[in-house]
Amino acid sequence: MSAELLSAIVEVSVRFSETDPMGIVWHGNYVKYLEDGREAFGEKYGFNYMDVYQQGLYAPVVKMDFNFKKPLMYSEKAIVETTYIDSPAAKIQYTYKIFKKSNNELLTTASTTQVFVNDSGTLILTTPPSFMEWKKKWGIVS
Amino acid sequence: MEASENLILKLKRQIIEELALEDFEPADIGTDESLFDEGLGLDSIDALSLVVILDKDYGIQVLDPEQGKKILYSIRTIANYIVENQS
Repeated sequence: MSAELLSAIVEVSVRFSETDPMGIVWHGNYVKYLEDGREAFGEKYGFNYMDVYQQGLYAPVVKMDFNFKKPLMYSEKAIVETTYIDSPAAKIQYTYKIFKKSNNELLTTASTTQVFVNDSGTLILTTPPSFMEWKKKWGIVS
Repeated sequence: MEASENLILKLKRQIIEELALEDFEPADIGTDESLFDEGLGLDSIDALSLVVILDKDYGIQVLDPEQGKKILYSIRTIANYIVENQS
């Protein structure tokens, strides 16, 4: 496994509609920030979900975990850092760190797990060849 | 040929380690009980880790999901499958 972890960063702006009456981002909206993070990661490392779909596979999120340390307020900007965590199992795991842009303070940590299913919804037990190729390309596996 | 008690114990230890089942001892896992749902309570993400154990440590690939459900049902079904298929 490569010593260097693959990670990508993206900036998100807090919309008024994402905040609750206290003026802080409602926790459910962080799910979308993680998706922004995964999209940025996919763009940077050429990991495109459409490639997965074209093989008749889907990669649903099946597990998500958050640790909300400090709030994010309306009009603030945040930086989402998304890091790929490799596993020999047929799954895609990311960890996330969300920082306040103005002072780099760590506000939230999170992780997600995705698995592969076919168009009948059946779980794929081994890493799909295209995903293995992607891992090889980035030196994650030899 | 039936799987040996040694293999069964080794498998239990590997599963405890791979799935980080803290506070579990091999004796806590029934050899014939379901590893999933009403048994040990593993889920489908855990099943993917069991598939990795079979591949890395025993050189056995489980590709077919339906077959996988039967093989991975319990410690004994896994152990018997290893005995029958290991070259």
